[in-house]
Amino acid sequence: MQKRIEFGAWIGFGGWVCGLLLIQDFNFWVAGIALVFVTLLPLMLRHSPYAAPVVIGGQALAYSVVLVLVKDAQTWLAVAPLAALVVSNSLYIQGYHNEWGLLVLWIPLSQLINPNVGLTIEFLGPVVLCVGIIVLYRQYPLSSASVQTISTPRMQTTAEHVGVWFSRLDEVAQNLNANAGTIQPVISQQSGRIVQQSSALLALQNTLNELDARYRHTQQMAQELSTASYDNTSRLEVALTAIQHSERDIERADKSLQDVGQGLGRLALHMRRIGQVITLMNDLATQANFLAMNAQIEAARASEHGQGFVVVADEVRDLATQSRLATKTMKELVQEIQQAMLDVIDIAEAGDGTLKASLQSAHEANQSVTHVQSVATTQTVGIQSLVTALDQYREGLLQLKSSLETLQQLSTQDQTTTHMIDHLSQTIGQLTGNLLMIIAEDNP
Amino acid sequence: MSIDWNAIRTTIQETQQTLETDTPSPAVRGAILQRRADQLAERNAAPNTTADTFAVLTFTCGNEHYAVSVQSVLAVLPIRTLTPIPCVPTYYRGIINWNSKIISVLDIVSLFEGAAPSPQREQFVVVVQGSGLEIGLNVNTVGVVTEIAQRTLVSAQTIGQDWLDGISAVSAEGLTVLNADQLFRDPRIHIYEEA
Repeated sequence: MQKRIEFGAWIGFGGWVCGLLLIQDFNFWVAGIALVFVTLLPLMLRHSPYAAPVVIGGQALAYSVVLVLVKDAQTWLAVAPLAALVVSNSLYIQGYHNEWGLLVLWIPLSQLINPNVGLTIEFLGPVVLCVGIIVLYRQYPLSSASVQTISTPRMQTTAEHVGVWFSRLDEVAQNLNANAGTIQPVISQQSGRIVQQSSALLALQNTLNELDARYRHTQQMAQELSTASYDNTSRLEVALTAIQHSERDIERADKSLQDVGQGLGRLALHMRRIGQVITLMNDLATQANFLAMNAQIEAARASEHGQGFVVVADEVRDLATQSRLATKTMKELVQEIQQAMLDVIDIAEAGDGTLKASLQSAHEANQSVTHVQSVATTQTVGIQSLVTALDQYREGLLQLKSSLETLQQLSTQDQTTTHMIDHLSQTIGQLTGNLLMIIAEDNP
Repeated sequence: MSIDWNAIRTTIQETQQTLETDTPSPAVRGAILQRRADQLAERNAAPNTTADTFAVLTFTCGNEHYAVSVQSVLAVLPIRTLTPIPCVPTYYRGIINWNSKIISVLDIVSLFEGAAPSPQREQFVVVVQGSGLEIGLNVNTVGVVTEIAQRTLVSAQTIGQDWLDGISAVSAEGLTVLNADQLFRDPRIHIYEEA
């Protein structure tokens, strides 16, 4: 294909040189533009899928320019072979597909460009010439029959045989080339699109994977949060129960302490009574002591008659003394008990204060925990709705993912097909190129 | 540390039991009576219970230990209301009411030593009878009724304590035995109204 384009471009260059030689009032700018369109642009774009239209269009444009510059009928006749050259060149590049269409298009186009021309002999001359060339080309295709005729003894010379063979080969090559040229741009375009699509799909898939990973992370976190929140709630429940229990216990303890206080009050009254009794006993012992003493004295005064009474009086006095000692001991004990009671009262008073403070603290703790519990419950509900939302989101994501996979599969198939076509096309192009090379080398 | 409430309850129950057993058993009572009988028999069996010994009441006053024959002692009583008398010597503490009788109370420490009486001595009064007078002696503590032997006594004259006839003798136990009759005959304790 490239070789054909180059070939066409050089033919166009030759035509341009001929045109320059033929036209007298030659314009530098017009010639430059024509050179660009006829030769330079096709050579530059020979690798592009648009190379063939460019070379044909450029040569047609160049010829049109020549037509614009033509003034008289004499020059028209001179230009006619040039037109034939261009048209055949176009046909050569295009293969045999559009030659009539181009010719038909050329007639009104030339009329439009130069209205002075008209359907004169000057105009129709090249047309007829072109038609003759085309007809000649088509009339003598390189068929297998004609190849076989080469071996017959009554045929043309060997050179003629080779010429025909090469022309037939050329025809086939051109045909192949044309087909390949047609397919190539389409395939390239499609391939480009598929590559774009595929990369877009890949990016989309990456994004989806990322989203999925993020979703998993978020879901895990949400579940952890949910579990933690639930744990917290149950723990709070336990704490609240414990606090309420301790509150009740403290209240009971307070009640008990009040009972203890009342008992201590009663005990204090009893102690006062005991103190009074001890005082009385002490008094009685003292009196008994005096009585015993006086009894002793009286017994002693009674001398022999009071001997028995002396013994009793002595005994009574001993008892009185013992009573006094016992009373003294009791007094000390009562004092000790009083001191102990005072200590107990101090402790109970301090305990009462502590209990009151504890009760206050427990009330406050109860309130705080209740508040925290209500907050935690709200939080738990929020987290659960979040988890549900996340699950829904995940479902959507999974659907999207499966759709994408289907799409990707399709795309892969498409791509394979495209690759196959592309490969085929390239193979065809290569084959054609090889053929052209062979033609160029072997054609005399 | 947990409190052993049961131990406390046991202690209180034991106390209750102790309080309930307030009357001595018949055996204890019999033993007491037996002991008394033995004491009495001992006294009756003693040979020197007649003229050789005599019963005295001991008491203390200041740092001295005194004794006075129970024959002259009428009563021992605590001082409840002691009414001071104006214009009298320092040893004259005042008067008390004993069995509807007015008894003068003397402080024998002041009497014998001439020192000022201390307020702590107003504890007991031993009412002593002698030479037609009944006079209360203010003493610190009252001791016991005991028997002392006549022969252990040392006469006051032999130890030179003749300034007061009331001190008749000193016993072997270091008791200063007072003779109420001699003491109350001493003119120094008699107070006369001075015009």
